[in-house]
Amino acid sequence: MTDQEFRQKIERAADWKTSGIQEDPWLTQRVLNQVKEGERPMKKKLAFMPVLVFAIVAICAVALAATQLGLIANTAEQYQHQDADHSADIQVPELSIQPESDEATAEAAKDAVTGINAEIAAIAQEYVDQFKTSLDEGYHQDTIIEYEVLNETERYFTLRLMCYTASGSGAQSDYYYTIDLQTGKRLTLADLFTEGSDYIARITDSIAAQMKALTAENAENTFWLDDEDMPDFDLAEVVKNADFFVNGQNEVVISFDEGDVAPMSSGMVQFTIPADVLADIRAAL
Amino acid sequence: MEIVTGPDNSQNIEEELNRLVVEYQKTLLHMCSFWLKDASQAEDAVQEVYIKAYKALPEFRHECSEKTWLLRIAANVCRDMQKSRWSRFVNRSVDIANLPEPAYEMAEHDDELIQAIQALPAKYSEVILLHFWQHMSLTEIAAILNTSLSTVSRRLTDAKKRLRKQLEEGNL
Repeated sequence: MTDQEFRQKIERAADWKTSGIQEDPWLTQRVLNQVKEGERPMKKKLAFMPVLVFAIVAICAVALAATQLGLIANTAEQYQHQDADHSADIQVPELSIQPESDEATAEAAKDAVTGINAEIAAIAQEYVDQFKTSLDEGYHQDTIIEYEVLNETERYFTLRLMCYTASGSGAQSDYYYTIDLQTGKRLTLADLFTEGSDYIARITDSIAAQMKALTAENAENTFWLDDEDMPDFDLAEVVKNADFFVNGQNEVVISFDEGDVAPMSSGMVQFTIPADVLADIRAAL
Repeated sequence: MEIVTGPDNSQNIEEELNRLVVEYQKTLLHMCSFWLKDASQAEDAVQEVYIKAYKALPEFRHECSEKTWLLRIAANVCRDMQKSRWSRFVNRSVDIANLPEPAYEMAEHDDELIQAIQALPAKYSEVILLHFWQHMSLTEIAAILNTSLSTVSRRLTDAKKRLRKQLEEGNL
């Protein structure tokens, strides 16, 4: 076979194999948006794309203001295993309060920190138990638990726990734990809004609009919303139970696990709620 | 094309970015798809490539072609993504089949040829694809992969030998 024939065959085959890949007509704008938002700990920064998980910062300390709380996340426990059919790399974080913290705020934070650590330990134990079962019963299993600190605002400390398990196909669940560094309280979504405000409806409507826009851009962006095969899907209910955090622009970001609002193949899905949607009902900082 | 500097530099750079996206997005998506064996990760990688390119644009002095420059960034981005622990675990069983369905019918043996290329060690399959598919010269490939011309030349010779053997044995 001559080099020319070789080239022609390879070109034809590679062109065919990649012919289904579509270019993103909005890529320039996405890039510019990303650059303007600045560097963030998470690799995936867009509102919709599946979230990729990358290696973690094991320790993150928060710079303290005079009345603030300092929190630190360390790896408290590890579980690792590797053989032909099983792999586990489980890093279990534990929060602790820095000694330099304001005394009153530190006292207020004790319950929040204890509660979060207990929840994380329980989640991790469940994954470890599942993994050990796979060892006993001989079926394939990969399990990873990692964590990172999203420390994008001076007001909030957010620990993200990323849990992935695969036995054939994989599934990822993320958990977000946010503590208000000024009050020491664990932040709930309701805490961000004025009492009696319709924040769930506002957030739900914003997400629904974003989903519809994404589907209009590209029909392959599918969501359970308006899916004829999911007549009982209630986005507001899913929003109520979803995880969230506050980003560097003080916007609320809602994070959904795989399969919660879109097919599993879409991966983790996040939506940023534009500030102006919620501005009039945000609680004063 | 000269990069114009001056008071309105940011606007020019944004226009330059858009031009690079229009011209090279497809090339980058295709190569990243083969490097990462996954279309979704390839999209992530390409976005990252353009973010890096945008930041580096004011310093780019055209010592090499734009295509070479962007593919070099892409090779590094994909290498970093492959190294991440997460990627290792998640992609353990993924092969090149994790791409969207091709848009048209294949010619005879196209799939087998792709499988044969994929079966080569990565250092061989990438030079094969960069040279025969993306039409990069050996010098350009050396710049993309940050290695020497002699290494690229040797790898390409070995890769062709291995691939030809597979093609002939498979009567492709």
